[in-house]
Amino acid sequence: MKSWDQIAVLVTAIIIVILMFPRVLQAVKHTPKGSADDWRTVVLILAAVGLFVFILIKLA
Amino acid sequence: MNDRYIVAGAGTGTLVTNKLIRNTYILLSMTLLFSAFTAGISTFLNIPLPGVFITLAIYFGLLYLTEKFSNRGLGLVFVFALTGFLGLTLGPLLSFYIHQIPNGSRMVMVAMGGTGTIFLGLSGYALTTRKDFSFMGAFLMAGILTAFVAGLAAYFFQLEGLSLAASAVFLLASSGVILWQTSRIVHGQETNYISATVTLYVSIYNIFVSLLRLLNAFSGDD
Repeated sequence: MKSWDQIAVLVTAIIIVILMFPRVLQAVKHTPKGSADDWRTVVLILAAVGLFVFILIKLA
Repeated sequence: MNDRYIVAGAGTGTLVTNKLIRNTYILLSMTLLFSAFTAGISTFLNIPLPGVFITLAIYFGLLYLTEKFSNRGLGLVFVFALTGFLGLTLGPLLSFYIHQIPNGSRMVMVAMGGTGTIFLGLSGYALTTRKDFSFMGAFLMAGILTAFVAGLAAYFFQLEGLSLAASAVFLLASSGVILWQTSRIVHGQETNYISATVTLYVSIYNIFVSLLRLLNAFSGDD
């Protein structure tokens, strides 16, 4: 990759992170808190997705 | 442009929610078909990737325009421009897997089937249980931002392990986004079907690309 292209990608990435970071902070402030039970459900669902991907890798 | 065609309404009634869900899934199906079409054209004509900078610039530019015009009819034009462009970027990737990787065609089919199953399973779960996943918003934004930075660092420094970790985080975060967005639609927190479609489409795209990457790395054929 040409160096100017690398610099352009880096600058774009920095701009995106700078633009997104305040939104992440705002989201942290305004997002409702989930209970332990809510998070347990999310962990179980994402674990199921992970297991499914593992099975797909074994099948492929 | 009349907003009633775009925004389902401010109420949270079942009719409004059902209409929003129906509009979102119809538009999502149409955008998926359209991007499959542009990916096919890109594969057939051997259109090369325009480069990371141009790809990122066009992607974020179209994403911005889609969100900016999401309450107007013009938003639909940008949705198709965005998804068509993402389809075009898939063409070279699919060509690479099909022609350069042993068993690549099978991997592409498995990734497609896997992506469809993950999307239908998660969306179906959020729709049928009607659980509120809005508490995941900040967690998902932080996860996606981290994966984005990690992916770029892996690309710059050619770190294979970090690249795979970023793909795994993208896959899980995008799965979370499907739960979160579907739940927002069900609970009336999302009233614009253009925004909802774009969020779901980008999640499906991320899951497909990440899954393909993980299948290639761990299936033992490379």
